Amino acid sequence: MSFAKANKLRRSTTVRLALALMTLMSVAFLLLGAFLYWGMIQLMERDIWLRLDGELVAAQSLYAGGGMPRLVTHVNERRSRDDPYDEFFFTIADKDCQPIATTDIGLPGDLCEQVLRADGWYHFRYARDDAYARSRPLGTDHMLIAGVLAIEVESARYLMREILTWGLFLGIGLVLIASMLMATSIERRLEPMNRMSRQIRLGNLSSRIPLRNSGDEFDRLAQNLNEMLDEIQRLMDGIRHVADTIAHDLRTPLTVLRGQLEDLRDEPDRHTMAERTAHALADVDRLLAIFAASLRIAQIEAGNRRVGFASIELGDVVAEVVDLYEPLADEKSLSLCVSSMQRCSIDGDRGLVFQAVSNLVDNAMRFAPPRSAVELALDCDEQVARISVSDRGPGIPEHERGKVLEKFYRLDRESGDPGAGLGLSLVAAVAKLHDGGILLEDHRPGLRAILVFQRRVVREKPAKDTEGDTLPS
Amino acid sequence: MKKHLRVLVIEDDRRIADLVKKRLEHAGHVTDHAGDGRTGLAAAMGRQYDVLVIDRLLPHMEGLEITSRLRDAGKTTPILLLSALGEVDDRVKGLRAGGDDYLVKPFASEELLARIDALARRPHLGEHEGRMIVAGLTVDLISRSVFREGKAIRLKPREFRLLEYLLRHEGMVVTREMILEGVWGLHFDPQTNIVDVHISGLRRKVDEGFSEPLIHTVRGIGYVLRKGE
Repeated sequence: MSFAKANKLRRSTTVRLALALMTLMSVAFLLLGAFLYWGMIQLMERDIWLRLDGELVAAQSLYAGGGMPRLVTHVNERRSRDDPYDEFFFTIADKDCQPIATTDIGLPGDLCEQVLRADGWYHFRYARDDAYARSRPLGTDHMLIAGVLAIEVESARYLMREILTWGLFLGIGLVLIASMLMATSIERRLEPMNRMSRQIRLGNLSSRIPLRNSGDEFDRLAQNLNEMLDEIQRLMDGIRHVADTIAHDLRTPLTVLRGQLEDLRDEPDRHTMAERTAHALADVDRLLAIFAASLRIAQIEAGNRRVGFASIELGDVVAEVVDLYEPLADEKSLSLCVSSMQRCSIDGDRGLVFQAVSNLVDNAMRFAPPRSAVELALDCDEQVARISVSDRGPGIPEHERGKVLEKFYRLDRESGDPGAGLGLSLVAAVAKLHDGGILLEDHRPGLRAILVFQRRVVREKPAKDTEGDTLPS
Repeated sequence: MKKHLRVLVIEDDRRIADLVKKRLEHAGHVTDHAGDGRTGLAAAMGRQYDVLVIDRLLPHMEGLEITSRLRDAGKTTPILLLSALGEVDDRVKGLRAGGDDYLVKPFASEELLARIDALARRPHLGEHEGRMIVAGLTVDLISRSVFREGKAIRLKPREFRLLEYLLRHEGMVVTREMILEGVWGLHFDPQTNIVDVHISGLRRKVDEGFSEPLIHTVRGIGYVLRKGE
């Protein structure tokens, strides 16, 4: 395994988790094993006591039936039989612990005293095994000492130890393999994402993470990342577009401005100089306004402004726009009226909504013929709020209605008219920010521009990219 | 009323600083300049100025921080914040930190001058028992009535608000942006010069037919309400 790979595995969270799992499982395994071990030993020992007790009882009944001679015979018989599988041993002793008969002469001499002292089961080592002995009285003058070698228990213990050890190794081995598999499989799912990120960092924004279509959490992550990339790409294209169009659209005014300044430099007459300077300054102001507007639109489109959202009463906004534009309407002999109004609030940015409506009214008034009406209407239902601005001007031909929302787009008749063509694109951007849109309809004759807002704006933007800013009619 | 102000400009961009300094001095104001936050704060604390012009993005210490420190230290000098950041939240942040006005770059230097003037002199045409009086013009803020040379003038609510704004800035040139902000609370430049239309409407009612005009146009900058031309 290469150093780099080993290093990566060392730092991998998956591997760490797997190892932790492994440790946990091993501990559990060990505990379980220990429990089983202990339980089994207990069980086996109990079995031995029972059997030993059985022998004791049998011996006592022999004594009861045939007296001491009978029992001694039995013990001697047992000794001469010398059965290697007989795990029991007996000793008959008198009340001074002198042995009378025994099945096993190798037993320790002080066994009798020890057993009496132990008062119950006496545990000792005999012939490299554990042995247990106890005593039973035989009449008034004698007693029977019976014991058992715990060979079975020993071998059971040995077996258990073997099983547990092998089991543990096997278990650990399995978990190790499992964790490796898990780590590599997760790594395999994550690697394309890391690779993609590197690609993007290097400038290749068009790459996307392939999906496995399994619907699992990695797929979901990949999908979210892809959508994020779509959005980033869209924004970057937007920025590039703005930069291009601004550059394009400012070149001419800047050239003109330069020309004006050149004339200024060469102008001998002070009065004309002052006039030319004033014109040049006005042009500069216009340029600055274009910059500011383009930037504002770009910022709106970047969508961070939702943090400033609050509840706005649209009726108030409409009323204020009317208030602002009434004098202009009077001056142009237009009538500015509100044909429908209701209480209707939305989540949004008051300043932006005001500006959007304001731009629409401004446009309407620019194109409305004298003595005609510019109408505002506010309609709401549970889902959407609609503000419409209608005029009796020339309207916008159907084929231009989509394009007219693009930045810097000017209808043919508008060239030469200051305004740079950003007004409607700002309206569109504001509408989009509020999860809404703008509809351009035929007012027959004239134009009806409808600003649509969602009444409840979701903080997270919708997953699908809404293509184009005009909603389908 | 002081005609010449002491202004401190804290701005790290050399060219803007020079431009502002030149225009301010041309207008008769004494101008000091600091090129970074720390020097600026020290200067503002150390000497008495009429207005402070502070750029938000500065090396060593941000404009907002300088503002709050000055306010914490008890300095009430009016502060105009300059910024390339023009979002509503930025504006709100600036004013919350203790700034009195907020101007977004790029700006016209006339705009800057008008606002500095307005800040330094502070809207001052005081109300006396709710009334404001200039020459023969009497405005009663409580009853919302306007009289000039004995004649009653009927104004619509928005016209009244505009007149009140001009009166509070009596003698100071106010730009169209300032009027939009002060009267309508708007922070954008409308496509058409509606302010001009509102002003001419107001002039028709308040100036036309009277002894002298009170509302004057200052070319390239804005409007001013004052007695005499």
